[in-house]
Amino acid sequence: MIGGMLRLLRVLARRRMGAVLALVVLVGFALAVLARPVVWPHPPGAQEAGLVLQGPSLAHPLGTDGNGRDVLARVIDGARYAFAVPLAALALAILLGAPLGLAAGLGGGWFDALLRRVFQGISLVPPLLLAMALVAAMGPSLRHVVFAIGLLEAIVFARAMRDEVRALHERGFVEAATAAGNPLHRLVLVHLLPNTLARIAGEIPRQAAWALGVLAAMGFVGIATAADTTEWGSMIREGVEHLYAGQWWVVVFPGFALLVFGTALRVLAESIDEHGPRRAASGAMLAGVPGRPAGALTPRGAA
Amino acid sequence: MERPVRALLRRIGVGLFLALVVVFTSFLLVKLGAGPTDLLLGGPSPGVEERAQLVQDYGLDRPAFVQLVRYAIRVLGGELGRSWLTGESVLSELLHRLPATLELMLYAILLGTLMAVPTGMAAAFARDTAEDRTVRGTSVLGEAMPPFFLALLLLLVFFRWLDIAPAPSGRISIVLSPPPTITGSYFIDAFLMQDSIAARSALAQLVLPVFTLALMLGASLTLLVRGAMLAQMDAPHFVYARAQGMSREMLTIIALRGALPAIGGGLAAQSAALLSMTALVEYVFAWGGIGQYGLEAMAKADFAAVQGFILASAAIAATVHLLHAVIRRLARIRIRRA
Repeated sequence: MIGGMLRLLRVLARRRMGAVLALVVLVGFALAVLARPVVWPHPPGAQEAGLVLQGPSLAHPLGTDGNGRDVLARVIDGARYAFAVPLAALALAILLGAPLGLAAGLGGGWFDALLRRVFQGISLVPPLLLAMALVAAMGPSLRHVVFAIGLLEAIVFARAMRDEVRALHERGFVEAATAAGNPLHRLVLVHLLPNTLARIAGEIPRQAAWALGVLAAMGFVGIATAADTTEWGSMIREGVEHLYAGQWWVVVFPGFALLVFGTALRVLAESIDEHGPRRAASGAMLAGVPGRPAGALTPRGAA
Repeated sequence: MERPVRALLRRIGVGLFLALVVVFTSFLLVKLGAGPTDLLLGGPSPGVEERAQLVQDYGLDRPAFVQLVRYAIRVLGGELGRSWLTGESVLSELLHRLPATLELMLYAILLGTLMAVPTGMAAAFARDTAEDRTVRGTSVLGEAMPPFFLALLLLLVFFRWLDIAPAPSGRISIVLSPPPTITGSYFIDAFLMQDSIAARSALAQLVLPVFTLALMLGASLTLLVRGAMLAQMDAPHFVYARAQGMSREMLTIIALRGALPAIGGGLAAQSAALLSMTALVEYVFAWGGIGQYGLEAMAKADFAAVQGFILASAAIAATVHLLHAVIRRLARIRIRRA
């Protein structure tokens, strides 16, 4: 059993090492969060007055912060946000975006044209800045962060979905399925959704990585939550003054956590793009932000 | 009607529609906000007269649709309101800070392109070798890098540890006074005034923020250049040229020429991402551009300024797209003449 799994892992590793490594990193973060009370029993909120800004040591491998709290415990605890916020935002984005894209792709006509222009207009505002402004206006709360990110990512999914449906449409796919006697709901649920979702699967980890970056930027500027949390961006915010004073560990470790987590998600996205079913080549509607045009031609920036 | 005229009118119509969508987004921002609009725009505790003035200016006692129309008319007329924090007109504050941001972005684009084009081309020619994989891996790492973290890392190394970079205290050393405004770029202005001390200080302040942005932009540009080159190298004319035994230099030129439109388009599509990165980097370096202004306005709930910042960002992105369209059109005319 274990030997079989090892062999499977080895085959996978030979074919797509990056994806395996990325999954190992993500699963590692998940296990660390779930098992934190066992693995590293330091409570992330506990302050020790005598241990303010201690460098990395055996007792505190990543040092302590300005309030004498253990940085390792806080970095592990911060992974909760890195999982929860992007996942919730993704769920909202797909729930909102996929039906919209389906409708535009199937319906075509003025609705499609109007939606395209509206998305084009909204995308003129850099999505990261728009998401931040939305949260600033609605007030600091993780629910608002999820709402703002989900709303902007819905545009990405709607556009991608629309392009895929359109591409299938043009190849006579919809016509054939309708001629075969499929009612609309069957056409959408059985034929269109699986075929399109499989093609935009790479977008899911990529948007998760984007959401993680937006969350961190909000935390860094101090608009994500009212109280200080273990979210990595806000940990960095709290640590900046110490960084300039030479206590680098307060900033560098949460920053590395962000970098490693984000890289794992992006590697996963690249791997899905490369090995999964090919995306439609049109990309005309996707050109721009915050999405990524089909294929590897126009990657989206990190922001 | 003549065809070109109709095409032009159509373009103007689309542009106007896009502008309205942006204005509506900015309007909605405040409408979705926690609290009444006049409190969001006027600060937590505006005076009675200020409040009445806001209600009158924005038509806040009227239905939402009337408010939207009024807001659109105000914005399209260049009236962005006043920041309750500084009491200044948002438009003049934005215009005052714009050169600082543009300077940063321009240098970042230049340096980023300079780094990305040769790297991306080399990776494309070495497709699927260890070299290619290293370039791609580094680029993905760069895409995942939070811009503010990269800025802080560079500051830690070059300011705190090596002590060869100046403190992140804006565009010129705090002991110097900024040069008189000619172009708005401290470095160029000090250079023109032949003030070598100020020029050197302005240049030193530029190094780390520009380098941060160039690295960030370069990461995604490298992948873009590589992808565009690969697409060219798979094209029949390139395969034929290679089969003819053309030199590596000739092949590079052929592929690069074909890839240029895709690279240009990708660069234009990156403008929004670059603006976001610039805002965060400005925030770290206290750069005093519109990005820092906008992010601080968000943190301090100064919503007239936030709205102005959002509109300004969209205007910059739109300008980049327009420039790109014009350049593409000009290039097409040149090709037709040739």
